[in-house]
Amino acid sequence: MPARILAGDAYLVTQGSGAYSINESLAENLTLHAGVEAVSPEILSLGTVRGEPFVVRAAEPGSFLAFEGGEWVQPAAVGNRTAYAGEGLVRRLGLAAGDDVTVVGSSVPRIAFVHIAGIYRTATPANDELLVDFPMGRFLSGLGATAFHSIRLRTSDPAALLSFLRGLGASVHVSGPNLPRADIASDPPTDERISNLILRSGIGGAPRDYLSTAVSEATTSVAVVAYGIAGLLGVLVAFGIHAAQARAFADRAPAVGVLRAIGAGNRWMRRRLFLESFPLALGAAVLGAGLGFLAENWLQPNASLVIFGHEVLVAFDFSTFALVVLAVVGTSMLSGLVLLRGTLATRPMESIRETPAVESLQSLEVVLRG
Amino acid sequence: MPRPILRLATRFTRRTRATAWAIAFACMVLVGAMSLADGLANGVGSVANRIGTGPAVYIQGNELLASAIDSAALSNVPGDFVAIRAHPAGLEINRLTLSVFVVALESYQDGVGTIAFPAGPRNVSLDVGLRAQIEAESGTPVATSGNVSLFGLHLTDLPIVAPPPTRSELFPDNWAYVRPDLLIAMNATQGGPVQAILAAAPLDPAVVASLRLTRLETLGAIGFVRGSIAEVQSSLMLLALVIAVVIGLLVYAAMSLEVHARAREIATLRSLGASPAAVAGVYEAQAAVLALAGAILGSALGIVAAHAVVSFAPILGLPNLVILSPPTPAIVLAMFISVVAAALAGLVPSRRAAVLVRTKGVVPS
Repeated sequence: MPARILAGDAYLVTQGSGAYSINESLAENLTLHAGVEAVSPEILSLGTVRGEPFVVRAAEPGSFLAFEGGEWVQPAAVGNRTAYAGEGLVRRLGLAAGDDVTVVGSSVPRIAFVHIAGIYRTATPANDELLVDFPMGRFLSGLGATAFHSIRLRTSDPAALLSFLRGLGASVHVSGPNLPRADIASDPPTDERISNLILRSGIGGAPRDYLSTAVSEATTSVAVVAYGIAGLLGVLVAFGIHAAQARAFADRAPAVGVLRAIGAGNRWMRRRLFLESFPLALGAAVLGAGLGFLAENWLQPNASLVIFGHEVLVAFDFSTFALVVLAVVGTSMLSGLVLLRGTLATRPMESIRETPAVESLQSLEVVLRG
Repeated sequence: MPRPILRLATRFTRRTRATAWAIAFACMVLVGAMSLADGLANGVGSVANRIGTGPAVYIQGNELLASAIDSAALSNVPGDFVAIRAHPAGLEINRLTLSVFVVALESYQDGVGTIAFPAGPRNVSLDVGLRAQIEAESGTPVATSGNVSLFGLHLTDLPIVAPPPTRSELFPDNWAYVRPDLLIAMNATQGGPVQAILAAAPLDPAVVASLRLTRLETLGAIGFVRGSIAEVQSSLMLLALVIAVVIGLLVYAAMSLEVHARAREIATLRSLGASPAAVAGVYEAQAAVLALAGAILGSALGIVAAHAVVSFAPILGLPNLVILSPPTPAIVLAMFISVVAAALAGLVPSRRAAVLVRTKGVVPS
């Protein structure tokens, strides 16, 4: 699962390759640890409600909302076997407080019904989830009586947290803000590409415990599709830029010829091109990327993109914005240099001579005669 | 269309060639993107089909609690299965009022239904989890009688009996079980229909179709991933719409310039006897031909690009569950939107070509 859904902006403790350690005992120990400010043990289940994919998260509602920075839209008394729906999920599936819905197991076949007692709101992907209690989470996920999937926590001293976990002997992976993944009493996570290759080439059935690997493979394989589509769109944009510049450059070819005729060198021409094109390319890139961001903001939530049960939230990411601008400016500069090179290869006299911008049409008579 | 006219229509200039290339790149994006999304769906489907999903559960619609399968039709369903009736209800017991789910199970063998428990017609069997909840909240053992509110009716002093002797691993331990007869007696309209059919093996597709059933994926991770990929695929329809608009604009711009540049040629055609409709046909056909050429080229490029992405993904360290197959629907869609968008976008320029001589008095030199 994407790290943002699992951890948000907190530290995350997940099961390592050793004995099962993510349980009530570890959660209690972490709660009592002096350096840990907040703890939220959680169980995640993947399922469908009314045919739509969504994530069920078993967590204590107060801790969960504290970690997600959320608030109650329609508060409800915390009861047994009740559920709380995120506002995004409610909007997407047309649910309301008081509704009863069918939920299914995640990696084990299950059917259960939950009563939606309240609605919460967060500014994170958790806004599209269903929050249930631990017994329901364990029933849906098939976990043991005291087990959790993960423990989220906040601490100001991650080094102390790691040494505390080492002292406990728990087999866990720990990751979080500015903390590279630490494997404590555990091997590194297995490379799922290997099992994927085995599965793709194998014959026959796969055990059900392969499901978690397969789901992980599927979720991360979306990156291939996303990067592929982004690459294809990038090619389209690059050719669009080149086509527009080629058209503009065709009109300037005589000017290039005149400048060369009066002594402008190739380096000077390139510098001139850079000075003229760069501000325009930069302005166009900033304007285009900015308009895209504003259009996406304007379209939401009516045309929001939902992937893996979570609405893709529009957030201004400076690095992505800068990357898009850089790519557009780079493409424009590269295209300009290619076009200039072609023009420089032509003699100045030929550039200056007035020639039709487009090739002459064939004689109609020739066409009509066949 | 007469051969010379067709030759005029299919004659590409530098401008129309450039437009065809632009359409090709747009179609490459569409076909490539759809190929990748379909390939991911193939890969996920391939994995999902190899994982045992447990018993088959069928419902009508997409919500079990809102499903209503005609119970009279169940005797015609071959094989062994369990008919499930399930409704939210209120339970008053031990001075508590709880929201519970009341379930009635009826086993069918060769079309004959039998009810195993509870034994008594008014008995309510509380499962172990529900009993534990009642005892924890009230602090007293579960009473021997309670009241149930269901379908707007309030039944009092119902005997509370032991938990069911067996329970499918599919079901939680907090349901209250009654006999189907009780539900039917309370409200034949709401209590009569069955909400779900639970079978050890998939039902005959003909039966499934005749009862308008859909299979409820009880292994949620599979349904989750399948549904998520379907969301990605449906999102690409928006991309198709955007590309149709782009193609339309490209064709409109190219054909407008073409008509403008060929004004003298159009006048010659008219003076040779070509009707306005024939002149319009030339440019309408040219718009369609260049869109089709672009779509064919773009489809080929899209297939190549999709294979390139899939081939290079492992080199870049990306896990890859994308299994590409011939993207026939994507190619058909690309060609369809290209031709339709071009035909629509070409209407105005071709009409302009048809009336050019009359309105502007252009004459051949």
